[in-house]
Amino acid sequence: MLQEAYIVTKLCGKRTGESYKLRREETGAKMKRRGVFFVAAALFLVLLAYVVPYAVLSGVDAWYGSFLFWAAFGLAAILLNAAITSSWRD
Amino acid sequence: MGVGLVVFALILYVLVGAGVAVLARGGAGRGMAEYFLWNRSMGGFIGALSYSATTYSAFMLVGLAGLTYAGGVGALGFEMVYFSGLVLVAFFGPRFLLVGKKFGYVTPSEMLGDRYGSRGVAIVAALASCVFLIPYSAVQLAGIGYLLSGVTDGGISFTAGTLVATALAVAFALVAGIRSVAWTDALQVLIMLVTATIAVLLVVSSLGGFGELFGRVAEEHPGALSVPGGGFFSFSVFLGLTLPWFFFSLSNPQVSQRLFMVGTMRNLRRMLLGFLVIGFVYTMVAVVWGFAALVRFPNLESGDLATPSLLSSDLVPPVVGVIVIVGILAAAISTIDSILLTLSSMVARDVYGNSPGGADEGRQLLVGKLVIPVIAVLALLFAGLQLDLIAVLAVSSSAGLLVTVPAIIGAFFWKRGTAAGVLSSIILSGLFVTYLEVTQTRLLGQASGVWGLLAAVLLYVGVSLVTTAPDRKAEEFLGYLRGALKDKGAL
Repeated sequence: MLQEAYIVTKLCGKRTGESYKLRREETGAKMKRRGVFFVAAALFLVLLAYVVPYAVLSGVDAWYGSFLFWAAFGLAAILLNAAITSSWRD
Repeated sequence: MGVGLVVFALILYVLVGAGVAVLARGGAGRGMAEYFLWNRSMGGFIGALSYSATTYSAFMLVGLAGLTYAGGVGALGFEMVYFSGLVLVAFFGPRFLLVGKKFGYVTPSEMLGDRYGSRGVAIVAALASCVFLIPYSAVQLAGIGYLLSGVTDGGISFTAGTLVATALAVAFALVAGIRSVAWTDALQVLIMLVTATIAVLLVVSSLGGFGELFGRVAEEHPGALSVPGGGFFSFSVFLGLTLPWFFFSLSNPQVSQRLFMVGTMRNLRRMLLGFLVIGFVYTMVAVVWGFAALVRFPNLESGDLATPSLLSSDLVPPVVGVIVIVGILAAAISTIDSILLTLSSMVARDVYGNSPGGADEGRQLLVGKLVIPVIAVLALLFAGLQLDLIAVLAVSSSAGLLVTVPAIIGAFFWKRGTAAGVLSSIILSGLFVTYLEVTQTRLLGQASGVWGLLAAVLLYVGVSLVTTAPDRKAEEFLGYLRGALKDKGAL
């Protein structure tokens, strides 16, 4: 319990018991929104990997077609992972 | 390519690898968590190297390059969809790490068994992994056999190649468990990445540069740079190949067990991002390698011959060619030894450990060590069947393991999931996938993985809804995670 209060204090910079609870709920709600956003972003990104090459770029038979798209898609996947994990702490 | 040069390079590789494995023994403690998990204190950097070496196998420079040769740019899409599946580690990695530490899990199947309150679940999940991963290891061994016999014109036989690879994998796994596996992995991933990158740059340069290479691909092989292009990568083929691989990081215990090994969020992040950087480079290298083979040798009988042909050609100096071969060998062995270690931990912890008198950890460890060579011999026998189409077989193994995914996701997100749901989903869907693979049946034109996953989801949810959930354990497991994830800033 003490440890929990310490973490919340550290996170929120508040010291009263009531605001611990409030801030903790706010942090929880914020993280939930963040979670929904990143799940949606991941699903959207993966969907693009199927739709764009087959529906949009199927007629582009050159390096700047699906080859470039999938390479950029790979880089976007790295960035997405970096963003999702940026809030991790020990 | 001269047999003498190849044998010399192999001996050098064996000596250096053995030296690293022996050095890795320093500081090792005792017990299952030490031998199989590095006592949950693996560093992020070595974790990234080891995760990469375990994931990327002979499949990349032999199978993926062959797929590129045969089917064009769709091979890049296939691998990149797998790559994007690592986002699952960003979501599930912290969960594995936290419950692994809290409840002392050594294997992913042990976690499932405990979460669903059933020893049967742990045993079945462990055995399912063996059933599907032993063929996967055999595919790696076969890849080495084909490669060594191919580049030496039979000077090194298929059997000799597979025997050497098996012996090395067993040795790397046995010397110091995960410590020797991870350190040799680190060495091997550097070998495979550096050698392949150098070789592909040399080949592309000999062919006139990237512009010339892609210009010739577009001109001489219409459809190779688009999908469905020539027709190889129809949408259903692409979906069937990518679906099992997207979930690879969860379904394959040799990689998901890695999530128990890094004890901190910082190290988990380093492992994930480090792997992604290595994976991106290696994927691009393998695909460009496949295109180079297509331009240089347009009339090969099979895509599997693309890499041996390129390595034996005048585009690659013999010394570089030999180093690349060692790199491919390293890629395969680093995958096989990790699989051996993970499967042996599952047999020891989940099968033997749940049998009468199997609770003693010292005995579990002994069983684990004894099982390593047994599994290796089984893989060797499977490789001896010399089945064709390396890439397709590797994917079939993944399709088989895909049936465990609903139970894994459910363990973290669905309180109502039950042991009966898990057992029916893994057993029945696993048998279903095996039937489809053996008979080469494509229901409604879709691959086995698609149907296997669908069947697994329906069975898991359907059977769980009509059976009793382990409420207390589910609450303990999920309740702990709710608080712990928040504290760690994870989603």
